[in-house]
Amino acid sequence: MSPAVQSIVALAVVAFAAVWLVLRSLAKNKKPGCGGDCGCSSSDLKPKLKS
Amino acid sequence: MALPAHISSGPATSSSRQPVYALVGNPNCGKSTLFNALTGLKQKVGNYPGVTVEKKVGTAYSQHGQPITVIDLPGTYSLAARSPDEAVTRDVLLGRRADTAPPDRILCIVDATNLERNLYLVHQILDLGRPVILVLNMMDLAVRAGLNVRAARLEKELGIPVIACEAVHSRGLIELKLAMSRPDLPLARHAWAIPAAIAPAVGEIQASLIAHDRKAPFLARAEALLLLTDLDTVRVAGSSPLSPRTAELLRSWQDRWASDGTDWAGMLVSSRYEAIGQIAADVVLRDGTVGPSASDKIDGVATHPLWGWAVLGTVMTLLFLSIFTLAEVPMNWIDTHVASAADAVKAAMPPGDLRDLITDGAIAGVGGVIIFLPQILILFFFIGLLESTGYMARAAFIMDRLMSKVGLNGKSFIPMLSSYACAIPGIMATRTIEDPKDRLVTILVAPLMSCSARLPVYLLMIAALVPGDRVPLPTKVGIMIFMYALGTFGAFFFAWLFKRTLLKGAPPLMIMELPPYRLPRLKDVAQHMVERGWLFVRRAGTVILGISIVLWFLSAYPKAPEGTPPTQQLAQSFAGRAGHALEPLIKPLGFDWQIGIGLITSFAAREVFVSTMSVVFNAESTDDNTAPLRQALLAAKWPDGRALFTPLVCFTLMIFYVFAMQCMSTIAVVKRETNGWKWPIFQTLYMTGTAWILSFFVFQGGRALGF
Repeated sequence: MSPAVQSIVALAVVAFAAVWLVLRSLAKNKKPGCGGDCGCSSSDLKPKLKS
Repeated sequence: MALPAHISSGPATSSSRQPVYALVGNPNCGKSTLFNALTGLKQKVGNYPGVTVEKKVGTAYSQHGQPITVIDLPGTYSLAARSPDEAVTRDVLLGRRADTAPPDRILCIVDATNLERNLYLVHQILDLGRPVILVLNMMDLAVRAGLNVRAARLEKELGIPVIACEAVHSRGLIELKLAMSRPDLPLARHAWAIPAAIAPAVGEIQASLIAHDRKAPFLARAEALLLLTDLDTVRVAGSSPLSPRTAELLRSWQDRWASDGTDWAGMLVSSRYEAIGQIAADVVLRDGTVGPSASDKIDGVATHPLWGWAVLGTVMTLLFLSIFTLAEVPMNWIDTHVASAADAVKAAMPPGDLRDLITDGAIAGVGGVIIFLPQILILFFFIGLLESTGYMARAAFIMDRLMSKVGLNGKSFIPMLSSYACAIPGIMATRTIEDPKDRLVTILVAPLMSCSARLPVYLLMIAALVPGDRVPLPTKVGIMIFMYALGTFGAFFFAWLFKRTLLKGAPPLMIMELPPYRLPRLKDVAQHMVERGWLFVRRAGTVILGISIVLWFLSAYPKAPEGTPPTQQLAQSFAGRAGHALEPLIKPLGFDWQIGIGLITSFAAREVFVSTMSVVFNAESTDDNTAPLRQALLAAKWPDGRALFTPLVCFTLMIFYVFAMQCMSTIAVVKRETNGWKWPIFQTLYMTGTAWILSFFVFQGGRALGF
């Protein structure tokens, strides 16, 4: 892979990461708790089938 | 008080809808353990009061495979709520929550070793006029305590199904599920005469609740009784207020009784206890020959004014010794493999931005943090052991003596202890604190307790502390205990300060139940440890990876002309410029612009400092072999050739991280818990301001002393 192509791919990855981080920080405000980072669970737990 | 036929007849729930059970009981009576056993979920459990502070919803399945919704509610001693977590339970049961329909049926769990005290809540629950199943939990402990709790007699007295159970061993679950599957659960027939002096008020308020608040007759009666005892002081978001007519009626009755000296609340409580006392005397037989329990004997030492502190100190020392000794081998293994992965990528790819992004950004950033996974696992294993055995409550008891001196009580120490793992569950645990001012003070100081995110920073700085040599184990443990103690005493100092200035109030009394010691449930402890470890890995693989990638870009762009040394390239990059802009502010603390980059990025989360150092110092490296971060830090220099990470700078950085508010998630949770930005902004300013001032004095003082 040539350095020019590497640069384009790398910048695309950076842009994706930056957009993802921004969207994530905005989405977290809508959820209860910390958004799942710290280990405190949300109030509604996913039910699990138990025989 | 027998219930009318139209309510008691027929199935309690519609066959077309999944029945909803509310799981209620006193704190630490095994609700969450039973919830997990019924639903197969892994809700956090612990042997101390206040583990659950919000409602949790799960699905259980009857013996016939029919789904049943179970709502696990925070523990409470009474429906007269004194704290926000208790208010959640009260409001769900009374149908005050707009987001939660009132449960069809109630699963009331009681601690068989303390039946009389637990029956107070049961007595109030039975007033709600809903089908109730009573679960007598901890029957094994009751037998060991010399108590013969006669379930059949209690069932006869109350007229509801009573199931003997040991939730922790999943005993009695089949009988419980069979009872939960019954379509024809009977309603209670417990007899209780409301004192004549207040009966007219109950009748009037009940009628008003039916007419103006659209309450069902029995729920209205229960709520009327409750309004007369709890004064309805604690309201939480999501609960609907009383109608003006009912509120006015309540006030007029209370004013009338206040003027003629009628103690209406006391009268109701005494009347209930009288009825409960008769039931308990009939149901519980005591073996008079049983002496002090094992828990009592252990508490003779563990809660002793002197030995208690010695035990606490020993526990903390053991914790940190384990963190350093047991984690060494797996850490070296991870370190070697992270370096090998980076070297393999460098060998496989031609030079270029993508290769640098992978090695200097992603692998360096994530690897720099993931190396601390073994130590995080050990920390959570120990915290799990302390919670599971019941020692946490003793630690709170010991600390109460100290806490009372700063104007708080031991109940505030439970959230602070939780904050050793993470400040967020700690802040949420403050919902168990009755007094709003005490709760706010605890929220403000809880993030000063050294959380697990600080651990990687401390460990990295301790590793870099002694150049060219390995740091002796006692020094490592000593520094670590010092940092934890500094955060704790910092929290005490600020609690003392706030209680005397901003949030003045009388020191509260602590009434907290000391649960019996139990052998730790290793399955629960291991599960909790693995969950927390997985969260750490997930965070490293998501947020920290994302930040590392962006940080790589900020440290690599704009590009310097070909042939520029890496240090120059970093200095003129976006990140370098930000670091340089911050440098005048942090230079008096001994920090340069490269450390400044770490201070900026770690506002997202403290451990990001470590990944930032990995990215920054890897970005500067010209070597094709990836050096461990410790070596890179030790080689870092000021422009004049002086070493950057001297022992004094490492120590100062640790002091800075003890006090600085470097966590966006915590700020967001404080904003939510205090309903505004005022307190999170204040908290960020006072903590980070303190961090700067103390770091300044430590660095400048250390330099003046020749360090």
